[in-house]
Amino acid sequence: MVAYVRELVAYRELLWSWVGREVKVRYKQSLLGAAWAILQPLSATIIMAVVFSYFVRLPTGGIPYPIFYYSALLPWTFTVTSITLGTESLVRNMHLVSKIYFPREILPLASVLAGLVDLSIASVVFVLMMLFYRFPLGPTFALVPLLLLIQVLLTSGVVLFASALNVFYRDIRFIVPLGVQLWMYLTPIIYPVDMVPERFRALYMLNPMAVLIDGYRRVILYREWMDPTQLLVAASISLVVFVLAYAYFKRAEAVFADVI
Amino acid sequence: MAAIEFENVRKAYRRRFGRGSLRDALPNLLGRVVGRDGKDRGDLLWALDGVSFEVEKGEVLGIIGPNGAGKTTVLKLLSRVTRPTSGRITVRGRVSALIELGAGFHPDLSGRENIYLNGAILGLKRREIDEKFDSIVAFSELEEFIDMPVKRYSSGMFVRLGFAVAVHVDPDVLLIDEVLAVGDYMFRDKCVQRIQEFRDAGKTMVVVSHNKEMIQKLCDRTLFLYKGKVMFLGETQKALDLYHTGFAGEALRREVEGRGDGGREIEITRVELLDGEGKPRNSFLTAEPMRLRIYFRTNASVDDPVFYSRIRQGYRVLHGTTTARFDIRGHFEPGDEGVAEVLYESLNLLNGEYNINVGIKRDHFSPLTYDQIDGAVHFVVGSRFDQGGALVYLPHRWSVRGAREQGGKGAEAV
Repeated sequence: MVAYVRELVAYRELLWSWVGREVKVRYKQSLLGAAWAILQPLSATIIMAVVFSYFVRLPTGGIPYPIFYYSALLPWTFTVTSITLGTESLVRNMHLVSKIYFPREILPLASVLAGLVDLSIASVVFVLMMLFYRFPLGPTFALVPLLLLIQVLLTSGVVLFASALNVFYRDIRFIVPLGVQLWMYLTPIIYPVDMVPERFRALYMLNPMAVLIDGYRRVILYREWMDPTQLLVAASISLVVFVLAYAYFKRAEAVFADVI
Repeated sequence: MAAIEFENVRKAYRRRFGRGSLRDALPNLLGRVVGRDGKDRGDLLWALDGVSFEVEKGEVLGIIGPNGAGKTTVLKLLSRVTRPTSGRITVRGRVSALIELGAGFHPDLSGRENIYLNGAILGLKRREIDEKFDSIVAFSELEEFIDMPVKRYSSGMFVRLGFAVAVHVDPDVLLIDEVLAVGDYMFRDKCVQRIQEFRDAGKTMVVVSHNKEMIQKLCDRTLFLYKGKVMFLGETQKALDLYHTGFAGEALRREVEGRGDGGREIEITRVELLDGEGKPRNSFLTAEPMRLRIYFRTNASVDDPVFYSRIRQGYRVLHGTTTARFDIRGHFEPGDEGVAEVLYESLNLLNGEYNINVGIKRDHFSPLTYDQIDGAVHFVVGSRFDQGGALVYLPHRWSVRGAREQGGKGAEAV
């Protein structure tokens, strides 16, 4: 594992170049360019806000629904985009994988890192919403970088695993959207955690994404600290997912060029 | 200490693996669960079978052999794109591959952005690319187009940019795979010159090429591979002679599946190319006549064998013909010898390198062959006017009607 990371570090310039390419390519072709990173989650938020503020009322603890929803959608969109693009990253670049050597994890990892760029662009809207609704920042905001780090780790793990599997079984591209959808409903994005029945709560919180999304809301909007046990469990599970996925990826890597 | 050590390397590919669907994989998984080995050993294809060689520091090794001999597999193993099934490979120093130029170019990005990206893929640091940027652009001769998206480049420009980046990598070991089969002549000369500079600078190189002159010019020693085995390793001229004259020899015959009895009713003994006057030749001008001769011997009583010839560029078939189309029939007894000849009255191909597959089939529709040799002969075509990357010359004539005044005169160009 140490050797893998060391090699990846040696190739860090390629990783950055590839992230740059992913970002540029993503916005070069489209008319509105980087505005899409904002428009996509924003339009989804407007739709959801109309549905859940006027048709169905959800107990958000006094938080206006648009910002309640957007605070979860923003990080969730990062994970979904990374998984969707990352899963295809090896297969899409098979001409490279089969011809030139470099640590292959650069391709899926670059998808994740490029997703971070989208995330920061879309965060601008979130900042504006915070100003509009006059939400002050509390000291609890200091936890956000930690939450993001855990999320990047977890997302990278899933992407590494899915992209490697996709080389061998192209069915993965059909399974991934289904899995993502299921995962979304198991994560408190459109609804608050409080709506999950008490007796399932412990099980529900084993999903690291549930802890993270709930965590963002808690530390940014409610200005509360998180349950340290939950955070620790989520961090551990994410780390285990990442390490296992990376190990699997490096083992599978040996035959990528032969299969692709 | 040798720069490259290849010790008894074997490499197998699984023939059907990874057509990539769970439907194929599930029975395998189930088989493993209930304790049966789901892997089908019979499906292994040995691309390399016990290959050993060493390359000294500063030495240039050529690799020749027909398609499917394992040449590219050797390069892929050296560049670590793939790993050996068994055996040991040691490479000392930084390796760079001059293969697949422009792999990794993104069509939407400009030439400039792609130089940085491709440089990074080849292992260059950003600082190194900064330093070499001007030199790369100058080499590619694309100064005016460098900020244009590469999707608007012609294929020639694409290749030039790719090569320009690749030759600016400063490796200890350089791998070159058939890169010069593309590009126009002037650029090609420039590339060969550059490779010679590498050689003079004492770089270790491994060169795979179908181009005899290039192998002759560059390589100290040459490895002749056939079907994953070393046929010869040593003096370049000797390797080339063995490869070119012995091409139709017994050892070089492709065995066709489902014909395991070893008895070949007809076999090809020699294949050669000749000009219109019947003199052997391997280079032609556009629209010259070309003759292909297939010498054969029969070992059994055979009726109406069908001879075929397919002209290819790389693996792409450009033209194919068989004796069945001309309704040529005949009866042969064991020990008979004969010659089948095709006369291409006008070789309407433009600049490039081509090769020909020949073979003898049972009948026009049968996939089974008595004998076949892929890439039996190689030839180059030169043209007095290169049609910018086009492949064929179609005899033609232009005329424009409706003009108030007619100038010049009608002409047909060849």
